[in-house]
Amino acid sequence: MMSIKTKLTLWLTALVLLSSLIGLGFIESMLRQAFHDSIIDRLHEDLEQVILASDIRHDEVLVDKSQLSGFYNPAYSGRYYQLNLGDIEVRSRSLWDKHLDITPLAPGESRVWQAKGPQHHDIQLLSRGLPAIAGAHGNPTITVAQDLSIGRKVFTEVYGAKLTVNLTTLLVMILGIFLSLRQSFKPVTKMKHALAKLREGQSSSLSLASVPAEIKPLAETYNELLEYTSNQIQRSRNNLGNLSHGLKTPLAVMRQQVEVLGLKDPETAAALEQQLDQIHKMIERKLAAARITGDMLPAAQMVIPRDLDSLCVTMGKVHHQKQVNYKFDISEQVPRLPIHREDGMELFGNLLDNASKWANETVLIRIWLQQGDIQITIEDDGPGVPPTDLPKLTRRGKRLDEEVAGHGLGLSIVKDICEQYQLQVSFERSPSLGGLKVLLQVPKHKESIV
Amino acid sequence: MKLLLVEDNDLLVNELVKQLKVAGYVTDVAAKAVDADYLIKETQYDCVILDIGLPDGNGLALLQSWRQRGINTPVIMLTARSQWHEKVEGFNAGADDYLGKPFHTQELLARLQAVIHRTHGRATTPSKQLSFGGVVLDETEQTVTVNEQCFELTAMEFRLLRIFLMSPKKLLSKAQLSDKLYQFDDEKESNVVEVYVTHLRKKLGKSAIETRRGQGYIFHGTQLS
Repeated sequence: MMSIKTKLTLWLTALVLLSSLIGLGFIESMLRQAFHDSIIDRLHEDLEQVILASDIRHDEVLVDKSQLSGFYNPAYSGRYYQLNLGDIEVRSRSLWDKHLDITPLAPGESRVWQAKGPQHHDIQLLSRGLPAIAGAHGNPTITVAQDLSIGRKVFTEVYGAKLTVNLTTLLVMILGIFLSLRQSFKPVTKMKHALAKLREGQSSSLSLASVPAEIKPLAETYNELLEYTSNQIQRSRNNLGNLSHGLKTPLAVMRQQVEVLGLKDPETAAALEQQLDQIHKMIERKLAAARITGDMLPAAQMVIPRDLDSLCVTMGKVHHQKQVNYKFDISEQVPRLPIHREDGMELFGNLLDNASKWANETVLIRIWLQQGDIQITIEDDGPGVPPTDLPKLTRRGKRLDEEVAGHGLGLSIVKDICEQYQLQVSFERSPSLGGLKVLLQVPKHKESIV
Repeated sequence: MKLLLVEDNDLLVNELVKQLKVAGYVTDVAAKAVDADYLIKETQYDCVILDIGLPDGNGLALLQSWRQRGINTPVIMLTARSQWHEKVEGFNAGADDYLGKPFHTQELLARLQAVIHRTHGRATTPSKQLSFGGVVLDETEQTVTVNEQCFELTAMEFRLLRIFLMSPKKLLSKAQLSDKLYQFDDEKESNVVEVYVTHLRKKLGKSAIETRRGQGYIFHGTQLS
């Protein structure tokens, strides 16, 4: 969906453009009309003057030029008159060798029209039929005309100037809309970044300082929800932990009793032992899976290489009967893994435990970035898994401990964690060390984790 | 060998103490952190088996306070908290080994042996055998082999010989020895150490254990080494 900001910008820009264009069109037609009306008014005045200055007899038409404006004198000055009476035609000097095509009009009739005049300029004409003169053929028709080109030029200039001003205002307004929207959306943009940070686990709550008043309740609710969820997850974790521990001690007691029983009745003891083993594995696996959370707060994330270091020290103590060398090749671009520390410890604990169990003397841990994805490999120099058994490791839902000796419960837990965090896990033969190589891929931008 | 078992489940404790006794360990039991704290100050233990969830406190915190106070008795955590991050915490707190519940007694015994051997600087492989100066003790079978001759040992003889083999060539006082042979609140019979030293000498030869009058005993083994 389009962002609110883009939407608002587009809408406002469109509205401003539309209203400006309508306004401009309206003003243009109004101006044109006024221009036209003023010319017609003027022509009416001119007509009156020409009538006053004329002396029309039955055989002769005289015009007293002294009573008329000097504009009628220069050739093609732009203002013209013409009197027609039968065959007699009197023209203003300005018409020079041209004459106006007119239709004789009945007395009292008027005609307003436009035509091509001298020099092929558009001219506005006004004719009027006068009362007939005794003894003459027909009645006289007086016509006055004005060249429109000069007025039009002026009109265009004025209108052009106005258009320029208007368009500039329009541009400024659009720019203003864009800027003001950007300014008012800054807090929202900030919040967007803050949310991204939160999701990547760089902060633990939304900062309320820069949040605008409208969104503040939302942000506050979000923070409260975040805290609530975090607490809830912690409580669930604790409860599940307590449940698991509560179950395991009685289980330990039962196993003790079964061991004692084994001295008297080995068969029953073995059967019970098997059941206890299953219960134990079930508890371990299901509780490990249930305790996995997506708590991505930075403080809860796995720190590289610190947490791996302490895990390897522990491995050294757990597998004290042999000397395993833990070699690191960790890119500095990966300071953290987006996995809850406890889950990460469980994931790497199981993988390193397996590797340590099988290694002769070396376990190699490599972490690097590849196109934004975090790549992790754990290799050992042990006997490895036969190629025919490798697919069995990857297969899901199998009793792995039955399939490949030694890669049992631990790998099931590893897979549960990987599934929860959407990590890719695969197994192959280590080309450099010869043992098993486990490859983990952490995708770049994981969407929210359940 | 004397152990302190800190665990609040009675049933587990009863059975475990029995099995530990069969394996030749004398075990004091503390069901509470307070008791454990008292006992560790009073007695020299060879190893502590420590639970984390105690009725009056956290086993890890207890272990940390011991390590801060310079009490370096080896500790095996025996706990239901068996996730890796918990193991890391346990080792960081100063544990020497970590075993998750439920467990096999045999595994606990193996780890116990390994931890005790390590603290006595005797990381032996295979760790089932403990030897010095021609005397080879099989801790699983509880037999001793001297000059290719194998003898069965009684529980007391086994315990005593093991103590000697852990600290050969060192003067061990009668009090130290009897302390490790008995539980904290047992009635200590005064001449029991002398009696069992005599028994051992019959099997190992007279010169194997030297008596320093008024001071104690020194274990030499049967061969000069």
